[in-house]
Amino acid sequence: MRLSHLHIPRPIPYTYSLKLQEALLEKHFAYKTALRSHQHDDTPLTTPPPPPTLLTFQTHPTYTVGRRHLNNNPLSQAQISFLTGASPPPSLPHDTTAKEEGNSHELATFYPSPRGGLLTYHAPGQLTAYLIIDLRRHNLTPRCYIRMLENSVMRTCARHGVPNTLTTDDPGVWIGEPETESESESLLSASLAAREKSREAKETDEVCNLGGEAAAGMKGTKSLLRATDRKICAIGVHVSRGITSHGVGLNVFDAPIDILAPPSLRQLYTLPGNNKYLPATASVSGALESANEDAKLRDSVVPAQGYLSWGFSRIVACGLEGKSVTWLSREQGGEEREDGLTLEAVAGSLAKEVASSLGIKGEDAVVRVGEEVVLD
Amino acid sequence: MVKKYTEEHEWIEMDADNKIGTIGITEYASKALGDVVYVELPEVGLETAKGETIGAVESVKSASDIMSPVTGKVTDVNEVLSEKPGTINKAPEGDGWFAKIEVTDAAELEGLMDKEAYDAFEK
Repeated sequence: MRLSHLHIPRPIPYTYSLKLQEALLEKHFAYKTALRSHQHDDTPLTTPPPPPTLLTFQTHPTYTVGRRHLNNNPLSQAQISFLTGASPPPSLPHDTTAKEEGNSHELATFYPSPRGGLLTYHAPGQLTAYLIIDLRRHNLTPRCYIRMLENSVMRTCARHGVPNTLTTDDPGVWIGEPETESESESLLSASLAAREKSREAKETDEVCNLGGEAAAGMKGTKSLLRATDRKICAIGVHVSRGITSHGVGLNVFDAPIDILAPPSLRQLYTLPGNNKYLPATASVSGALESANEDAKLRDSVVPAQGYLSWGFSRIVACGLEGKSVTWLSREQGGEEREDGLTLEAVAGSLAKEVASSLGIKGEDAVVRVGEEVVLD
Repeated sequence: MVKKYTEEHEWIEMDADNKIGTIGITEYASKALGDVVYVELPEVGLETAKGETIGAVESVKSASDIMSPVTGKVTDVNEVLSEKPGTINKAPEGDGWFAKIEVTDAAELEGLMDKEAYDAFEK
């Protein structure tokens, strides 16, 4: 068995990712149905099962909302219009063309999703990864599967210069900071062990028996990290007939708005002047000391720098007030994004870590496939 | 009446008249999911077929579809789960029942597993 990895290099509409995912799911469902009817009439099934498949991509800016949110707290049309940009955005003071052209530009799309979790955002600069596997074939329960995904993401972050991540009861993968000054032999194993362990998390650890570094880190290592309020990866999974879909959104860098938007559209991506995603500058930090200045900033409007900072700053991501969202390039610590930090490289790392977590060993544990293989 | 089980870890228990079946998820499934925070119940009156999705059970990070084990019509849903979704974890095969279905063809139950077969069934 090998892990098939389909990576799409160009940003795609979200609906295309759903189409690819559906095609993969259909193959799995068809196999299950065929298997069952062969079991009933006791004939052997000759076709092989579909391989576990990781689909990685970037989308055009998209907000998605899980079913729990839709049912408990449906978004109003006004809220959806705000998210997509259908309602007039606050325009930059010197710009008159936006007002003249009207407000029919779509800045982001919005889709309901059958996955778990609440409201989140996908865009260029985020590695969105959907993993489609048959849980039974890999002997995983849904809760162990989630843990496996989280561990794979944490190990991927460590490969790219960010070993200090952890999970908590809140969904997703978070940046951790050391609790004490003491040295640890491996910050990564500390982080894998250092989840703020609720009863549920402890139960999952006992029950899941995951192999490799995760297990080694868990037993007996003193907790050395505590969670900051910065989330680097969102998680939301759907399980149907034992087949998984959807997955994670791992933020890699804040892709500049220019890469997709023409100049006329680019100026519509704005943020309030006091939003926390602005890079810290002397004038901003100085100004915040004065309440008057703060009010002025809040009422002012600045152009957004990148897709992630723009999109996430406009929502309470995943329903978690007071938290913020971050990305690998920001957490790496340097001024410039490291050369190796491309979506392609991070996707490759994630594929290796997922294959390893699924117990698939060897040099060729991961096999790259093209879109045509999935869509045939 | 005797409980019957599906490979998707659901159970169904017919009433004395063999007309209405109560369905839910098994003990195994509830442990496999972790803490349930939300239950998506079907509408009363929904017509469904065997194997069709009629709702979902969610943890914080995942949503798992519930399939109907039989063809029929939903006559009742367990409203308690709207207030207290954790009931599914506490008593998945009792107070945490999911819905009641008026079964079109009781013969469909013959294809399901009895308790011994389900316990032995490789999960």
